[in-house]
Amino acid sequence: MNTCPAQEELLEFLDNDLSPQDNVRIQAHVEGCARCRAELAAFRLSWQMLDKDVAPVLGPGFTDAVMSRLRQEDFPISKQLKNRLGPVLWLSLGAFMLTGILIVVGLSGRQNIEASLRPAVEPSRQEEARQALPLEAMEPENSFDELPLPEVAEPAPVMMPVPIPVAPVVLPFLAQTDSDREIIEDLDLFEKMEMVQKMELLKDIDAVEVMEEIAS
Amino acid sequence: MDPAQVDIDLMSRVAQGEESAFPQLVERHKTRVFQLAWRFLGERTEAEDVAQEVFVKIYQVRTSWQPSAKFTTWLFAITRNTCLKILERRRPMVSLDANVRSGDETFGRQLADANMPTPAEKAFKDEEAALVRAAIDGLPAQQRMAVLLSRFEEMSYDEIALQLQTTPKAVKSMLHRAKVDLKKKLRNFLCI
Repeated sequence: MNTCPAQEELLEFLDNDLSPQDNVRIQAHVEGCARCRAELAAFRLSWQMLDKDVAPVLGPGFTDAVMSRLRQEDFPISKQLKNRLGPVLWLSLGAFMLTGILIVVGLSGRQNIEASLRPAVEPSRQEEARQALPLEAMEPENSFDELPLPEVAEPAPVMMPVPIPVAPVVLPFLAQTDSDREIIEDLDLFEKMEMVQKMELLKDIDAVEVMEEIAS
Repeated sequence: MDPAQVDIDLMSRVAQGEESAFPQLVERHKTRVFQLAWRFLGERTEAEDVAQEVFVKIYQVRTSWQPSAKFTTWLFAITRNTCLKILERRRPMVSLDANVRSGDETFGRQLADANMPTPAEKAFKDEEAALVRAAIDGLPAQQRMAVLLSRFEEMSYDEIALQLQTTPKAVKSMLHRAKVDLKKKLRNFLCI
């Protein structure tokens, strides 16, 4: 055999990774080839030479040092979890706290609004308004422009309050309970009451103007 | 008793909360872990730190340990990962490969400046050790670990592949490249 085997094949030969036929072939070649014999010896010796790098030995206190470190660090479950979760834990805690603050602020704000609105509407007036203006009677197409004005010569007729279009704004996440619905209903009534008062004021102004015209 | 079984028994006891079994486990494996770390990193203090870190990690995760594989497989995987972390934290080091390519004389001079400098009065043996150390250090990290596990832990391709999370074929190829490299670096010091 004239052709020398590749380095890869020589290494496989050294590692006994070749098939029996290839093994015999390389063996036969190496016996007759000084160059390949030198290559094989170099591979073998350089691999064995790694042993010359003698590693140091650990001191006798190593195990005690490890145990002492474990006792100092004392890993309870909570610490293990904290180590494992790390930033995730802190971010989650932060998010929880922020959510809690927002909920508290939101609830207190809502209570303040309710508290500020409730005294403005007297119970008797609420009841009056509820009777006079049932919610079902609302007609959205009516407006102030269509208000009938009284005739100058005639005495002012008794005006029935004109329903004002107030579209109930109901946020789905707020109108989940009966108490919520009552609050919204009260708010609607309050708005309607305000409208009625304004209308009465307008009627009074109109009446004054009419009277002034008559007088002049 | 089979050493692998002894390890499993000890680790099971540790996992069940028997703290006194842990020092026995440390005693059994501290030298192998330390020497692997030392050969990989080439620095004693770092190797000691790695060895401590490895055993602390094992203790930390003791309750989740399952005896599904050999204890040493797990142990060396943790050692390797800890070594790699140390290596990443280090400053970039000058590769010895470039010096080897520039000539044997330069290579020899570089070796004298390596982590284990050889004083003039030191014996040939020490010098030889330093040369080998430098040659190992010059290997890429993955190849170096494959060489150390094969040469000093006598692991098979399959076992090394498990450690390095690769295939046995890749390990074989890695080891062959490392052997060619080592032969090239150490050729002048081989008595052939």
